[in-house]
Amino acid sequence: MTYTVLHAFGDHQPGDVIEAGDLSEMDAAYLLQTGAIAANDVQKPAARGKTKTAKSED
Amino acid sequence: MAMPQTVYYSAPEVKIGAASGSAVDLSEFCKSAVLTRQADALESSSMASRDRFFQAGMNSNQLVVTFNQSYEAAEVYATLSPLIGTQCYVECTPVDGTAVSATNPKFSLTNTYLEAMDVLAANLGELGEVQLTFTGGTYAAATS
Repeated sequence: MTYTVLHAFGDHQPGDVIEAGDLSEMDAAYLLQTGAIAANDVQKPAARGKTKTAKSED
Repeated sequence: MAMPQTVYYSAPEVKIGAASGSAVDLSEFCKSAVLTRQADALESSSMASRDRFFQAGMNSNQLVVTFNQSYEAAEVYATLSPLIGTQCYVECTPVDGTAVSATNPKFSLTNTYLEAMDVLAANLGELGEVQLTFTGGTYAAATS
């Protein structure tokens, strides 16, 4: 999990990519709320398998 | 011959956040900042003297700051509104954009409390401003 810095804070400048582990949970929640960072690597729902349709035999 | 004087032109750096690691630089919006370090005066006078004497009690530090209001992401409202009713972090240095040193110390209050914020203050024909008071917290002055 990483975050992209959108607006400067602390020692970080816009465009920096920081590891989630480099921020405390409190700081990350706060910075997401203010819009200073955006989360990357957002987990996508698992892709669904294709559904097979049986051919009619007439 | 008089010694040359050095005067201070007000151009401080002001950073505020939930903690030091998330403090946002709001200097470009800042109109005034007054950080006061105070030790409560406890009277220790006695009848042995006609003079009053005091000694230090609890520290009551405070930052009063005024910003031009902005509602953009990571600017004034977005940075400050999540801090209402919480203990947060503020820091100020006398000269913005200059390294912290003995002649440009970084003053900070850790776990200072933001009690209230005017989320809207609008007057006809005027730019919006917001004044905040951060109360209490642990004071530090770093020189490096």
